[in-house]
Amino acid sequence: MDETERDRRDIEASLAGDDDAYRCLVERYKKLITDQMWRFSRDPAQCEELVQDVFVEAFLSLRGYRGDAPFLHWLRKIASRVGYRFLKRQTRQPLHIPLEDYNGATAVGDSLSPSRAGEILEALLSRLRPKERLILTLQYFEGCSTKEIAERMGWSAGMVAMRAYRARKRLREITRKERLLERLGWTS
Amino acid sequence: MDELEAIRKLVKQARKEQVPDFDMADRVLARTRELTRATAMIRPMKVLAAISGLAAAVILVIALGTDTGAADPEVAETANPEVAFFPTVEVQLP
Repeated sequence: MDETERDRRDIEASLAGDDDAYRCLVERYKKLITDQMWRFSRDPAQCEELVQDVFVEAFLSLRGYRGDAPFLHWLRKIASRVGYRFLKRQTRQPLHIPLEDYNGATAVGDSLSPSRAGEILEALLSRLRPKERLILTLQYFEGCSTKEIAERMGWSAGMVAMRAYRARKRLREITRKERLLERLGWTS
Repeated sequence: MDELEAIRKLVKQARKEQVPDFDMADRVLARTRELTRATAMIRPMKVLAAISGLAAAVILVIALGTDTGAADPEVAETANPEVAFFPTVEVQLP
């Protein structure tokens, strides 16, 4: 039995009230959704809460899943919206992560540990507006195209392209202002 | 190195990161059960609210119909056939 067929069977059973079927869906996709939500919050407790929110929201909207696209695509759409709501909430209490902590972050030669790179990116992206941050997060970490982001969020492709351009420009300014390349020793 | 190139390099590195693994299926199911229960409790209340709203609307329509006649003396007069067809006899004073 292929993945799509398994998903379809578990969705039908979940809608009929079978908790174990929904547990199977959660177990099958929690890793991929956690990977996605980790880009919105690196705080483990907060990230776990976000992943839970995605699966709870998916459960409540399960009757609306038509099966046109794979279940994972549908879940990722919900995850992007949950993440965006989280970013908007965050703007009320801005989290400004200082970049001073990353002086000489490059450990050996040119290599930087993945978690250190993730922290630096979070510090940079946290300085952008929620929409811009979401667009760059989806482009950088999920390789989403402008069209895909527009479809996921229900925005126009033109707006996404314009915001992405502005976001990259702003990110470049921030990187320059914070002298990140010097801090990392990547000037050469 | 260009700033955006540096960002791309950081992204490439960050994508290799090991993300924590959460065991949260039980908590998700507990939350969905709770929500299902709450929704099930709300449904009869919604039906009850709809019925009482409908009853209130019916009473309002009836009351308005009665009230219109009572408020307008002309309507009230014509509405009562006794008054309309047998006007009060004029009494001659001695």
